[in-house]
Amino acid sequence: MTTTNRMVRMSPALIAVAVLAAIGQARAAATDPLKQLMEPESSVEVGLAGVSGDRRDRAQFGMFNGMRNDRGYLLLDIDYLRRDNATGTWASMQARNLGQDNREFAIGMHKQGNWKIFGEYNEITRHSPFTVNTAMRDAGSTRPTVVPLAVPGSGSDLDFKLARKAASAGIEKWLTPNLQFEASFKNEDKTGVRMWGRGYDCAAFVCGSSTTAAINQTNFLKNAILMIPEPINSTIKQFDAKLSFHNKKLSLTAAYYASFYTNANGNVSPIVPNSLYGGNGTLVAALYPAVGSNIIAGGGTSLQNVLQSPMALQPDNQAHQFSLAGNYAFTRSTRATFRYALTRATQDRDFAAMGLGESPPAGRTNLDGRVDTTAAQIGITSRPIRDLSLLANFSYADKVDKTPQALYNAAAKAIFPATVPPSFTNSNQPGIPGAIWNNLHISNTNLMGKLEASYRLPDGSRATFGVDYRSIERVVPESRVEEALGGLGPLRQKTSETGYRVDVRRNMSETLNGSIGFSSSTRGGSDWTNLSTLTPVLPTPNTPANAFLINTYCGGRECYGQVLSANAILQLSANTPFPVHMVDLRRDKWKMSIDWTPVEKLSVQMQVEEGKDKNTMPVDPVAGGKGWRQTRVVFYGMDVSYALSETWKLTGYASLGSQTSFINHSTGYMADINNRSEAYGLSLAGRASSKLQIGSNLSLVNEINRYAAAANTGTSGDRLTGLTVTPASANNLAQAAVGLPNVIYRKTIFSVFGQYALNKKADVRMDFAYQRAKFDDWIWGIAGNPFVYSDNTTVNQQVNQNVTFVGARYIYRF
Amino acid sequence: MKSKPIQHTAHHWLAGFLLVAGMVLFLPDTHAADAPALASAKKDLVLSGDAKCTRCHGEDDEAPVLAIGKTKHGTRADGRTPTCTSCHGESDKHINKPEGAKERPKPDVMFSSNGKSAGKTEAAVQTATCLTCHTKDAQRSHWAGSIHDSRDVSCSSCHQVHAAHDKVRDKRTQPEVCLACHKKQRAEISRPSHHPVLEGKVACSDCHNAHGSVGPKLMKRDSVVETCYQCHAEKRGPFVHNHQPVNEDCSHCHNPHGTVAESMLKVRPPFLCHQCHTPHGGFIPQVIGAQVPGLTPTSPIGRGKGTTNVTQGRSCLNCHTEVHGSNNPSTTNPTPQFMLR
Repeated sequence: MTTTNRMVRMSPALIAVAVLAAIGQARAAATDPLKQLMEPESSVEVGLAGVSGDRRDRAQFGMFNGMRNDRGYLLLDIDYLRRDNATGTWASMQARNLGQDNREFAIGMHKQGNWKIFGEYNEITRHSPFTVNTAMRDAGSTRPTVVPLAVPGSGSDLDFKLARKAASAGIEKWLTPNLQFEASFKNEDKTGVRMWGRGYDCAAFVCGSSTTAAINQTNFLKNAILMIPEPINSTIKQFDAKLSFHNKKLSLTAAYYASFYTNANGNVSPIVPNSLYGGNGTLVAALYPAVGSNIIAGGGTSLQNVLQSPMALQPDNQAHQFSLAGNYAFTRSTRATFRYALTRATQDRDFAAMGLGESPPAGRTNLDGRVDTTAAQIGITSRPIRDLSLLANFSYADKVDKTPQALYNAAAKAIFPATVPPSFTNSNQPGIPGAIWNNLHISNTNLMGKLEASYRLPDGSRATFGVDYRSIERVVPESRVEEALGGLGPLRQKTSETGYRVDVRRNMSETLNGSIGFSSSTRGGSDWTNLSTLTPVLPTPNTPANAFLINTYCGGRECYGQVLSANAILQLSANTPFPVHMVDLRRDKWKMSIDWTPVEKLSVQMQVEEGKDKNTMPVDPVAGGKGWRQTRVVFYGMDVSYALSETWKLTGYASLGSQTSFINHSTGYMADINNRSEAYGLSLAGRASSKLQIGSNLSLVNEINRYAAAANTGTSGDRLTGLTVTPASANNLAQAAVGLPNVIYRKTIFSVFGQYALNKKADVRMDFAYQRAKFDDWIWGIAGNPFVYSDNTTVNQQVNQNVTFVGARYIYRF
Repeated sequence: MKSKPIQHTAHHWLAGFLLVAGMVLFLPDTHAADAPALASAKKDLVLSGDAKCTRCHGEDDEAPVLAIGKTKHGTRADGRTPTCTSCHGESDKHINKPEGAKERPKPDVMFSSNGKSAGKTEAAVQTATCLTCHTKDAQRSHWAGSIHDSRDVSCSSCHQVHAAHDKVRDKRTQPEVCLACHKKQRAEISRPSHHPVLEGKVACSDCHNAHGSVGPKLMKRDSVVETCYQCHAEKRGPFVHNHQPVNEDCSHCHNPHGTVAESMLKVRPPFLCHQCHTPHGGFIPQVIGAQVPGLTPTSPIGRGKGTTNVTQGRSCLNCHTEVHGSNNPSTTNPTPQFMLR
């Protein structure tokens, strides 16, 4: 079922009326020159802008700035601000980008220290930088129709965009000098379309085995991937209310926060033809068919049906939070901070209403999801003596997933003993668990602690020493009957990281400040929950090697769910990657900064950082390390500011960063991924005369991502006979030698403006900007070879994008 | 269908909100008695009691002072607003230069814009001066001990108290202030996949509370995920099929400041996914048009899992499309537990 989210659009006429009213009031304002220096000022900026190029040229330039489509734009910004000096009451209205699709409008009144009321409207439109070429019909609906294109690139171009339109309102009131009430409400509608997709490679239990001779499956397409756009029509509503009490010692805030997400769409069910393009670009007459009972007992499902099955969109959900937070001053130099919060998040969207009513577990009409979180924090800061500051902070968050368990997960297993034709079942058979299991729960408990001492040394330096601790405890599966996870290595119930840091800051003189810091931490944790499915109770006898593993490392019992050491996990499977966010690691980082003002006119800031995170898990000596191995980061930055004269200033910055990650596929490549990032900027601004301000800016961004990948060797043998290294295949070695191209992103922006004062109240301003961007990325194609979906849909972005912007505006202040 | 009652609930909230707003605003003025008599400020220019300063300092100063009149600090009808000496100290020696002194001594309390000591005024003293009044806001309840506090970032490091336009309080100019110190993030937000920070539509303060918070990295809410849910509530779930890292920390996969890879992914798939997962054979990343003959599809039958389909396009997400979680309850094969639908 589909409903429509509607939002009142800010009418330009309405805004114009408000502006005229504001200016009318302003005319009555005093014009005393001294008062002008001290009284709040309002302004209206109105003008026109022209932008060169088409939307392809502006893919990067116009992603968010509201200037993607048209050649000309109205420039209209309004800032209205007035204060009633007799009562201290302010009135404000602010309107920006009124001529673009990223317009915003705010209005408010407040009396200082007494009350405040405000309303805001804000649009953010993101224009996807990619252009989709397709023959798809009803793209962006919940029922798109896939239509194969005869030739890639011969379809229609689609440009997707997402628009967020948010309206909010709020009030504040000081009920007494010590008691403040605040409340706000925000409604944000999000509509549009974004790239999404679906794909499937037929499994034997769905479409039949490719070796089945009963039908000639070489004439059928076994797998396909499609670009399916995701239709967005959702709303987030947030309500926030706070009551704050304050006296000389205690600051206390009781708050309630609620967030509601509603989605007008429940699913996308594409209509897919029974003929798509195969791997070599040939149109294949039919997809894998719904084979008969002679191929799979009871029949199978066609690939077409799989691709047409409903795809779930995000369900409605809600969260409510009550909290109590504040601080307490024990003495002038000792203060405590604290917070306690209870949050309940629920998700009970009806499956059938989402269009997902196809065979849920018995008795379930919705997930009835519920996650309760209890969070607490307490911190103490103290300055027991003038030169010593102490800090202790501790926080705790316990997230408990109270969603009922149900058998949502199924992975068909061959019935044992095997039948002809083969039969599959989604039920656990004796000795073969893992065919059906419960939903995964997301409970976890976080602990964070921090101790810090900072001491001012006699020479004016300040040395800080801190110790940090963080742990996360998660739920992990205990048996395949409960949760039979696949596709990843082991899981870890608990990780904990402890580290220290030292930081020394020194004012070497009135013109030179510097700091240097080093931090180091190590992460470890519990033993690992094994997900290997080795089991001694299989209907068929295990191989001697597997029996050896089961008896040696799993105590003769099923290995899945057992808590084992990392070394035991590697014995069970040498190619196991340990998940990146759970591995043992060591982090080291140092950084240095200098702030130097040698003369009044010149200031220089420099910053250097270098860090390394290294995986310290055990590694199988034959297979080598798998998954994430290491990340190194280096960053150098410098800012310079120089006053050329009393009216001219030159500023510049330069930064160079490099991040290198080493990631190894479990059985394929060993990647060395480097991102080199350079950014430079130079600005000159000043006054050419008493009436003319001029400024110019030049910035350059240069990003080079390098993807080096070598073919990994393999392993042969087993733990009984011993593992041995096998060379990488000739194909893999050859492909690794071909490698992946670099991804390059370069953006240069030159801008200049001039603002001339016509009189004391009015200026004219001219802006010119030129943006030259190059984005050479292989993700959607490279060197004229597009990545092609199974219906010949392609996606692209123009590599070179040059845009010129010229704007002229009249500025009136009142 | 559940969405309608929820929408009704939200509408009830809105109605309730408006009702409470109306009632609260009509409560009596609790500070009316605090307003000073303007007549007492006869010789003052902008703040009550500023005459002893403004007789020398004006708008032509290196740090123009009169513009403070355009700000909330310059609202004299609010009896709580300061005068010059409320912040800068009585500064007797500055006002009355001691005989024999070569240079006029600085005021008792000076404020700097670089977060370091200004003259002899420590950053902590600068901040304490502001906190004399600004302790009542709940947003500043966790300033004590926050990273900015402990690194000597004072209020004036970010705020321009005398200026009509305080850059850090305007989301279009706020990044200039934050990025002056956070230089690494300055480079990141210029990357092609980014939040619209430079475009003035998202500010640093939409996610971070620079005045201190319970969350890591000064997150505005208690955790990274709760902060992200403010705008991305669809990721909150819980789902029938959850992806465990999603609810733990969005930054396991995303760099919200900007990346070259689409969707602000820290490393592009498949490399990102292979940091945890073990799928699909001896995989070698490859792009179409640059494949060795042995790995180039020659058959029309399929494209396979280990070729360009797992490197290009949406990579692993070409098939595992519901990567944040799926609420599809179907137990019909192929079932959606691998985030396929």
